[in-house]
Amino acid sequence: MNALDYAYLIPLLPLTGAVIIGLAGGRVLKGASHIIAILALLGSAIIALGIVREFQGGQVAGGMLDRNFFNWISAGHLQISVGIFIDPLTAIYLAFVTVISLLIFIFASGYMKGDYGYFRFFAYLCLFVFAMTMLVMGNNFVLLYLGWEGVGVASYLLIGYYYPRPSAVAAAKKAFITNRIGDFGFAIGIFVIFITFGALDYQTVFAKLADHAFVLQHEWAISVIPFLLMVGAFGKSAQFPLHVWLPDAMEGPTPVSALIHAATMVTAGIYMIARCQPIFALNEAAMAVVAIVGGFTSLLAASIALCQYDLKKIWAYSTVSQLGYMFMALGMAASTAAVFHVFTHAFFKALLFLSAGAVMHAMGGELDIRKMSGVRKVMPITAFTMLMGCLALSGVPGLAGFFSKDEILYKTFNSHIALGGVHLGPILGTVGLLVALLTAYYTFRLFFRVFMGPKQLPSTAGHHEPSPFALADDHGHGTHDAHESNAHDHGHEAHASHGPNDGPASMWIPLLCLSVGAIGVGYLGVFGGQHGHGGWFHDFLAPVLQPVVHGSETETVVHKDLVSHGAMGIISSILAVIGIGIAAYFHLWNRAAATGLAQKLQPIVTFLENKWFIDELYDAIIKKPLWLLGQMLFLFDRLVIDGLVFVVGLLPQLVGHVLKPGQSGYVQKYATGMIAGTVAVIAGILYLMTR
Amino acid sequence: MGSIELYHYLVVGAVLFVLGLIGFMVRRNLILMFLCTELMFQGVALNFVAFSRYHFNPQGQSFVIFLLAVAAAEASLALGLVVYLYKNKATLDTEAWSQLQG
Amino acid sequence: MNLSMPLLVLTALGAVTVYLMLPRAKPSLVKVGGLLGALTLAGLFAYLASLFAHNNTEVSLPVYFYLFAGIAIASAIGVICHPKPVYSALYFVLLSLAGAGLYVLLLAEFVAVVLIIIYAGAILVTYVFVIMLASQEVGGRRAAEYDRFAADPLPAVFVGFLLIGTVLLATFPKPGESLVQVNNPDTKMVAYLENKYAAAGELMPAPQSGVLPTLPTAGMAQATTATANTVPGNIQVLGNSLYGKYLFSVELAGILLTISLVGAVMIARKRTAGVSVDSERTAPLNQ
Repeated sequence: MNALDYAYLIPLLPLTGAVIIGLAGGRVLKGASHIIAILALLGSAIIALGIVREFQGGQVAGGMLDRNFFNWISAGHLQISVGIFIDPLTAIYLAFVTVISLLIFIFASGYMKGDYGYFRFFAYLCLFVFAMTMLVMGNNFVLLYLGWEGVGVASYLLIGYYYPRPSAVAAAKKAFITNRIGDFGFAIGIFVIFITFGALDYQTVFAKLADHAFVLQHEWAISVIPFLLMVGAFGKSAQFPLHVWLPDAMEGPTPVSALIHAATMVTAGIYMIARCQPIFALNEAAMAVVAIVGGFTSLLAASIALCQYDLKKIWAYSTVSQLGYMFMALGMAASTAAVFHVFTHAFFKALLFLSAGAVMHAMGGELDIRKMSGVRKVMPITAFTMLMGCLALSGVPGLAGFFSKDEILYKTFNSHIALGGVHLGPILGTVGLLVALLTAYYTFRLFFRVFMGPKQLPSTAGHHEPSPFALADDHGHGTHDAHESNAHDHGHEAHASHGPNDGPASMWIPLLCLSVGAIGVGYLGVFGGQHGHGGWFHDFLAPVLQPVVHGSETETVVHKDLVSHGAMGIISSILAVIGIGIAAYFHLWNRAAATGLAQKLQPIVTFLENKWFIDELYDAIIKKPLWLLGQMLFLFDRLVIDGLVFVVGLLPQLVGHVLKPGQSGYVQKYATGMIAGTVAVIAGILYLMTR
Repeated sequence: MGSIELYHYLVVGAVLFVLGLIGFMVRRNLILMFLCTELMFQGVALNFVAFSRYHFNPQGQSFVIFLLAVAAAEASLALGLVVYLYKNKATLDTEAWSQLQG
Repeated sequence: MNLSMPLLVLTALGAVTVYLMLPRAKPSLVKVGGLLGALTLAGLFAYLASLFAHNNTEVSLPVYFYLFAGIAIASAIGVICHPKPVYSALYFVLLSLAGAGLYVLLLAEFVAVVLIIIYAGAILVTYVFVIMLASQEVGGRRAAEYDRFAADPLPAVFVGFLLIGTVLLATFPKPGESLVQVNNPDTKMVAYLENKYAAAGELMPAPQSGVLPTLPTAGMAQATTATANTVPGNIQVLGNSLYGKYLFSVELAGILLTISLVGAVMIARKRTAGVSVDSERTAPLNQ
């Protein structure tokens, strides 16, 4: 049977799961909500993998599937149908999204166990998976946007999962609003696409793009579209200047951070640019901008990560930095490398986040790396998986990260993309290498600090972290519902005293699976290839992401490389080792030296610790003026508009006041009035009659 | 002096009517108010009789008879009410009854 | 619109008169008002006389008219302007008498006498009784406070004289226009009667001045005991009209009077608390 026939189930199963959990989870399912979610995801994952197999077997007609299910919007020229478009790019995305989601769901069922609102969590997660799969599977820009918004909504709901916490609520709002700014650009881009091409489905748009005469006719519009689209991508994938939401999004539960803000949602921007490659390919300047922004962001985020102390925030900045890499690759006409890095990054970043979550779970909610040390002694499995992830992230040869990162660096260095005559390849390549060094350093800084060294655990280790859903004056009486883990440090004796450990099987098994992925998936891009360079992965994506042809300049196949692939591999490996070495010195062997160095470089440290003061900058240039405007308008509203209403309201009062003396209660005055009226009528009539 | 025409009587009737009207609006004594309505009746009756004479129609005079009957009926009822009101408030002042104000 | 100046002046003067004469704090102004009123009345009569100044054989009639009219108007002013209610009622009696005189001039002697008997004799007496019953005199001879002061005379006077001014202006022609002469009723009547008698086929009796002629008897089922040559007077004519054409209305008027009688008794009845007809029966009789 053809898995492609069941492709529509991939979004439908999680959606159904979300509905069922949402409706029945509160009363009926409660702690068993995860079962439905996992089953739904299992179904989706199986079908997704089946689709990959179909493409692999080369039995798909035309190399893609474009099927419409029903007509959704029909408004004059605007005809939008709900349908799916599956090509190798989509297939890859579906595969890793569903598989990683599945593993994270299993992890979450152990991590979130006993939490108040358990079912809500899984309902939102299923909603997210639905939106993400719709995003990658839609066959027109409207469905892309639908999924785009849907993942934004799910992200908002999940970041704000611990809604009693004000910081969580603020972070959710920040994420959504920043996304919205990006979505605004994206929406305008879609409008321009519609105006220019007259339709919004991929097939029509891309077909028209192939027509050279058409392109010349609409040159201006086509050159504007990539810039608009990239704004959306920057918003969703947290690139400068819209990167500010991602670190704050760590307020959500760790599985959320892992799934949404590391592996899947943030890669939607990459997907969009990869999908719209035909549009970008026509505009070298746009690609250059993408690359520059990507490069700058990766440097920015890596530098901030050097001085962060929060476990999850370090990984968050790392994500931003790695996403910067991906954008850099996209901009440098290395789309396949970018998607490859997305693929590998999803595995090891999810692994890193989940490991961090396991550590946090064991340490009773503590996340500050300065407060824990030597954790490997109590959490060996987690230490191993974390190590695998760290090695992958640092680009140590042999693990997945190395292959993808190395390819990006190679392609970047040798890229012919130029802006204003300046070849960006070497510049951004150097930036990339610097970032690789920094990545290795901060990654292992975290690892050595937390897992190695003398065993020093925080006081909350081994206890449940206090649930934000607890009532403020609740001090652990015995009258709680056993399912609600809303006790504070209850009873060191009363609670089954377990020290910090690796957690239940539902937590470390997915970790191990992801470690396998972190190690192994890289080889998919190395072996199995039939075209000389690249592996199975590259061949798989080749029909979609052809080498870029832009403008009138065709890329010559024979292009002298500035740096060869092998040389690049060696350089990046050396840099990785150097980074690890520096980290080992400062954080494993001589921790005092780190403190000393930090004191000497205090200004720099402060600058980096405060995230380059970007949030403060936004506050000053955007928030405060808007607030002022708001205050002025409020004043205007209150004084002018309300004043007007008040004055209008005064009128009946005035009229009443004027007329009140007429109601004196004296009969004779009333009689006088009546007679006066009658006399007036008579006089009027007589006047008219005798005129 | 000239002949006495219809106009003369109409003028006198109108003056009597208006004087009664003014009196009704002005006097504060309940009984006098009704007396002034009787005065208005007088003016009207004079008009009717004058018209009856000058258009040779006994209808005017018949109407005056009826007018008298109505005046009598009205007077009796009005005075009954006045007595009742007087018992209620021990005064004949119309301005004593002014609660429906605002 | 050409306003007739004399009428306007007279109206204004009349307004001032009434305003001054209405019960007020300063009695001196009342006297001024009285003088002014006399002037106004004289002026009014002069105006009326001037309008109809043509030869007329009957000199006595106009004199009587002006006399009675003057008394009527003066007593009307007395009714509305005198502080004491009893005096007002008595002025009203005077007014009724003057009115009766005017009715006699209008050849409606029955109505005149009825007016005196019923109005002056019954209604006014009732008024006087009630006034006696309910009047309050403060400290001797002074009238009660509410009688001594008029309630807001200015709008009332204004409105009233606006009305009379309008009516007069509408009734009287503008200066320069000829009066619509209401023809001597007698000549018109004669012509009318001639037609009637001719139609009825009867002989018309000779018209007598000062007497209201009658219609031909044919077609009228009246029980007149008069002979063919007797001219029926006012009473008979009126009687024919009332009990012939307006019999139903007469009956209704009777019912109206009955209703008002019952109503008046009901309203003015003394209410004793808690006594009903039945309670007397059920009370045990003293054995």
